[in-house]
Amino acid sequence: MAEHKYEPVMSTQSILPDDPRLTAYALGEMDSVERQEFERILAAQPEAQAWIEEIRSVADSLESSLRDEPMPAAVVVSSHVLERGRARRRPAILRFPQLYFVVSGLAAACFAVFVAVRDRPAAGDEAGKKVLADMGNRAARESPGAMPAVATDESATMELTGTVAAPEDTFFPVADAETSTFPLHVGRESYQAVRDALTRGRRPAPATVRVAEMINAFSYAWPAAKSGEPFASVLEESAAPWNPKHRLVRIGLKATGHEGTRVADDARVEVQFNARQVAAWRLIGFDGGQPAIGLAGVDGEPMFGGSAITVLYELIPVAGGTTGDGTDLLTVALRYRQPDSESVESVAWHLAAGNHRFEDASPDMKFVAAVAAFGIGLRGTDPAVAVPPPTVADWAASSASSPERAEFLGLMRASGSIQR
Amino acid sequence: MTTDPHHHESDAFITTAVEQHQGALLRYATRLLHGDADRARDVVQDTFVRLMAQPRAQVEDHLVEWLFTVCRHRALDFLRKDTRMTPLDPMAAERFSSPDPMPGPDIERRETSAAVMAMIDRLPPNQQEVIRLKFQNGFSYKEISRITSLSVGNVGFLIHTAVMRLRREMAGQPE
Repeated sequence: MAEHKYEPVMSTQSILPDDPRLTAYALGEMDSVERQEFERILAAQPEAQAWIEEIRSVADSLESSLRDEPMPAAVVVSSHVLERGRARRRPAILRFPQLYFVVSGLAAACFAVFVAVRDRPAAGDEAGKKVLADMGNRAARESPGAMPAVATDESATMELTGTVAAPEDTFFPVADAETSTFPLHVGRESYQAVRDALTRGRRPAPATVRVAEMINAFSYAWPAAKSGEPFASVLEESAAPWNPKHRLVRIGLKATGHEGTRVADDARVEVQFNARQVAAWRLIGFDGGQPAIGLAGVDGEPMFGGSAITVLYELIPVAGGTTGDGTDLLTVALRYRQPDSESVESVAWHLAAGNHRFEDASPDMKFVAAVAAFGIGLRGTDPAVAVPPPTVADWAASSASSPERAEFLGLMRASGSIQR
Repeated sequence: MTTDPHHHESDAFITTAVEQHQGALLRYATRLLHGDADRARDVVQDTFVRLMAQPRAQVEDHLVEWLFTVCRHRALDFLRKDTRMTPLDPMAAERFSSPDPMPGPDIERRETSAAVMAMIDRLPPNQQEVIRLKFQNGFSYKEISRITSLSVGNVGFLIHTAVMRLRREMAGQPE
């Protein structure tokens, strides 16, 4: 049946030398459907068959030449390294690591030398943390029931909000809240509403703009999702494009397994910030009516095969900035039950502190940041992220990897001229 | 909170992984780091440290791909941190392109290999990397896609472009 459907289309196609399918076919990189289709086209094109033979012969020379390339002398991994690895294993699950390791990554020659420092945060960081903590405590005293909170600007004029009246631009000090959580499912409706309004040349009503839903309306690249591994994850950090002093962290989680099968029950995610690197954090893009979402535990949720979530955190680093010394910026832990089991399992991922520039971030990171900044701008809730839409679209100019993305970036650019 | 009751088993797993893959990882990292073998050792070492922090069941069935992915990230971290890094120290280049000290390939084959290697060296860096991952390390397009964060289509395009260029050069045709 499929043949009848495809044949008329295929018979009109011919293969040109720059068609990557030639090499994919020659190297056995096609699945059976692709291969059968391609062979049908090939049958009518003898010159393409000859190219494939040539590609195979190039591949053979490459393999044999590269096999002869000298392999560097073997490294010896010392017992110190093994010790360090074991120590890291323990805090891998949920609790804040009590053992810090400082690795002098640039002391290239003496690679076996590691210095372990136990429970001794740097003095400068401690001072910065204390300021934030004091402010947070005062906020809590002054407005009972409200979340301790500080305003966005970490400069000398740091302003105390006291309440969470404007939660979207509120950062929580790590000293008071060293963990955060986020929902594993969000809707997609907001994207549709925003897209419809912009397509008609109108500015979407702020209340219809929900940044997390906009971010999650697009699909992203996922690394290794192998059988037996229930979740794939993406963790990435870079400077925040709207404030290079802040760090932006993208966390993506995806339930693997067959589409629609129940993978996990009672799944809850917990993000644990390293207080030695992070002074304060905020979860970007959840509705203003849910100020506690980044703080209070959300209910455990089922996760289904193929379901995925991507969130962004904006972090204020400790005084002096994050240090790429090999310690973690944060740990993401996911606790869940297998559907037929009572025992709670957990899996954790680490994100090392770094100082990546936004310009060097992955296309997905750039796209997510652009969607977030654009959405925040539409909501008008956060003057600190007031960036003109065409500029925001430029951030993601190299990320338009799908028609949906290209379209949305186009709408973003065009929205610059829409009046309120 | 879980503890690992299988320390000995895990250590054997790590030790085997180190023995089997450190050479290939070091070669890959040294390339990414423009010939800086010392820094490459740091990167490879850090890769194994991260492996130890990883539950074995999570990496076991795609260990080599995982190692290359982490190794690549760490190497790029170094490059980003150290923007002053000069492209290539001439000594490092010489060390790296010196012929295999092992007795083995006959002269003719070695000459062919040297010519092919020179052609590979003239490819753009991103093509060189995927060509090596494919033909030196034997990864599939999908695995290369996950290691490099490129799409599978992109990987296929880069490999095809490189192969077609090498095909022309090997046939002695101008580009």
